Amino acid sequence: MGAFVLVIVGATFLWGSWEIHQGMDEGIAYIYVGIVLALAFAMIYALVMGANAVEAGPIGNEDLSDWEASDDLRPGLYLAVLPLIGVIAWRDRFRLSGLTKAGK
Amino acid sequence: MARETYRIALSGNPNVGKTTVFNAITGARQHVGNWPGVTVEHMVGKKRFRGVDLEVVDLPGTYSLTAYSADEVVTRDFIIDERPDVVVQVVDASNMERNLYLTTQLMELGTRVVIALNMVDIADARGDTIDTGRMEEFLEIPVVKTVGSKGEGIDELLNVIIDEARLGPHHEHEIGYGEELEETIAHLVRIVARDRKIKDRYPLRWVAVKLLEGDENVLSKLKGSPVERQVRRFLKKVDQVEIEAVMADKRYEAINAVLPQVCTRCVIRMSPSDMIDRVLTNKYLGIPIFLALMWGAFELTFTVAAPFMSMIDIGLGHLASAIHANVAHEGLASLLADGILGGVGFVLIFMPNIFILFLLLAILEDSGYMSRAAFIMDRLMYKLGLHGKSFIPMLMGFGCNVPAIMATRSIEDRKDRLITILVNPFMACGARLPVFVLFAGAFFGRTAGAVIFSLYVLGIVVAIVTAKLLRTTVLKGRPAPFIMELPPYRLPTVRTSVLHMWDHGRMYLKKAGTIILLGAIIMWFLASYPAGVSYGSGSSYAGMIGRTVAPFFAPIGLDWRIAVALLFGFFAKEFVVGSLGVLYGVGDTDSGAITDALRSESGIEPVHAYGAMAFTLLYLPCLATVSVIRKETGSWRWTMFSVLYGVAIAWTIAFAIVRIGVMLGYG
Repeated sequence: MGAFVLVIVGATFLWGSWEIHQGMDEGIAYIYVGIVLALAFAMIYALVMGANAVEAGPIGNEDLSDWEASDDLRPGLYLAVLPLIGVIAWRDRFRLSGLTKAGK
Repeated sequence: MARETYRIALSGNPNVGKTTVFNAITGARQHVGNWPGVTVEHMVGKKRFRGVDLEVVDLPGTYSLTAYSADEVVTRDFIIDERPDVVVQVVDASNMERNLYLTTQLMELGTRVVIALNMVDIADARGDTIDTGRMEEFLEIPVVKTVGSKGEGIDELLNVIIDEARLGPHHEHEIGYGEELEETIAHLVRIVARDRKIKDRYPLRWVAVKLLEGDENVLSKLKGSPVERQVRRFLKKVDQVEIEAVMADKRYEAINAVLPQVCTRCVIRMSPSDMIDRVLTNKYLGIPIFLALMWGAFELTFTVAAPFMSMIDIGLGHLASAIHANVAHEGLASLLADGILGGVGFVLIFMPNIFILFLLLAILEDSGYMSRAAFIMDRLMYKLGLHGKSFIPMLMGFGCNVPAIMATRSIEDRKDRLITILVNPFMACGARLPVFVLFAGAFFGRTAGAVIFSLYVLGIVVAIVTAKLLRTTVLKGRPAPFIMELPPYRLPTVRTSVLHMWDHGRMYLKKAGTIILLGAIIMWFLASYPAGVSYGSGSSYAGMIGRTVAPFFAPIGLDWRIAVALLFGFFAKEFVVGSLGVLYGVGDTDSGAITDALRSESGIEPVHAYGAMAFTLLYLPCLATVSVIRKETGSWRWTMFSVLYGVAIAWTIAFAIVRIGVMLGYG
């Protein structure tokens, strides 16, 4: 499934690049959403890694006795460095002030 | 001399301020009635202006002029049969794209249309600049800016209405549908034109377009016509679903060609919601992104919950040890430790999974993404015979099937609703999640998250296949198209998401303290008696029941304990895991020990475990779901069908999984 997710995120970036290349400014939406998707999945992988670390360490789950952090270091996690740079570079575009809060 | 009188029809999408404009025109001179044969309300008002008498009829709010709802049929029948002198379409100036879709259909009807561009104050405040002159030029329709709530522009609107009415017979405007489709339309027009009655009464091009769109109402108007057989023969040769989609695309193409030239801001800058929608509702990327997000949710549900499960497990283990050490009466100690802790405690272990799943679903719901999920699935669901609105109750089924089935009340069409009710039990409710977590954790190790995700997908696939089956056999027909408004994206807050999670999750917690507790005591009794038998053995009452039903489960490789647990799962799905806790726990509430017992004592392999999970997913709905199916369908026959079909499909699929898995060397 990790590979499927990578393909989807990659396809989103490629779609945006293609649209921009065709002169469609709206293609930038794919780049922004691609960045958000990449970071969302990186966060999921990081949470999975954290949970496994707790299971292997303090809780002492036998099934994870030989667990090492590198076991959960998936490409989606370290490749997220690139979109993270994108967020820092375009931080004003990722401000969430354009969205109202749920329940309001 | 006769007084000059005109009849005006007021049309428009829902919530565009149509009634406000109607009130602004007619004041108190109005009365409410019903359209003949239907319960759709209509209002008629009078107005004398510039010496002219105007009768204003407020038509029902509709998004289009198809024949999928009573509102739409009433609106277009009125325009065709009553031939009002002018149709005024009230358009929401802040949402032109959607509103102009109805305009294109009114234009096709060949009626004289005036656009009341309402709520321009809101559009102005947003910074939209709408050039009504250019709009009139492109659409060949008079456009008047109004603010119905303040009565602004109403006099000018009335002036334009009277001028238009005086122009006499209406003229047709056309949307071009492309060369190929235009040839098809022209051919059909030639056939229909041979029926003089139809030719005199309806605009022929409109009839042809509607017939090609698969409009049953228009087709019924040809009943007994000399051209009926020829028309039906012609329609059989074309793909009406595809044509309907192409026509809708062409109408939007026409709108999008006009809009940027008349509205200078709204189409240039995209809001954050528009940007996100552009990607998440993309024709090709939408569904894969949805699947990836759902997988992410299940991965978190399984993995992140694990440390919390372990902590509850350790706590319950200590409690069980304390009971055994401090309660001298052996029977009472067994009831407390094996029965209550084994049953209720084992159910409680899965609370973190339930709460995490509900939290993630709440975040997706609160953000507005779930409406998009329904939107992107609509095309697929429609092709497979399900109504787009069905997807929301189906998603709600991930929480609990009972409110999900009640939510089908929003589906107007009886057949659409019945199909949605019947397929809803295949959506894996929260109570089934612990069974998946238990089996997947025991037999699939680190791929458990993906295995659980695949079961949810299996549920959706079975639901869709069942819908298709019903749609092509006993509930023949086409689902009504789905028109929904997508709310803007919102930022989920911790408070609202946690509240929603708690609302759904507490039901599970409440059940654990009531019905599951009772079930655990009953199961403990059945596993401990008749007196003298060893606890949970084959000679206990539970064993006897298990051996009776075991032949049914043997072909799918499940032992009598799992069979008993599944049997009791009819009362509430939580019983399945609670019963397994009692029957496999055997004096030990440690979930690790129960997992080990499942692996070693049940004699099942991963392939059987997957079969057992598929069976749990698809078999009998729980008692509460059965009773709500009976109530909502009003039929014992459909209720029994749901129960028997569920068992049959569950057994068949579990059997296929096991046999194919064994053949491939997995068992």
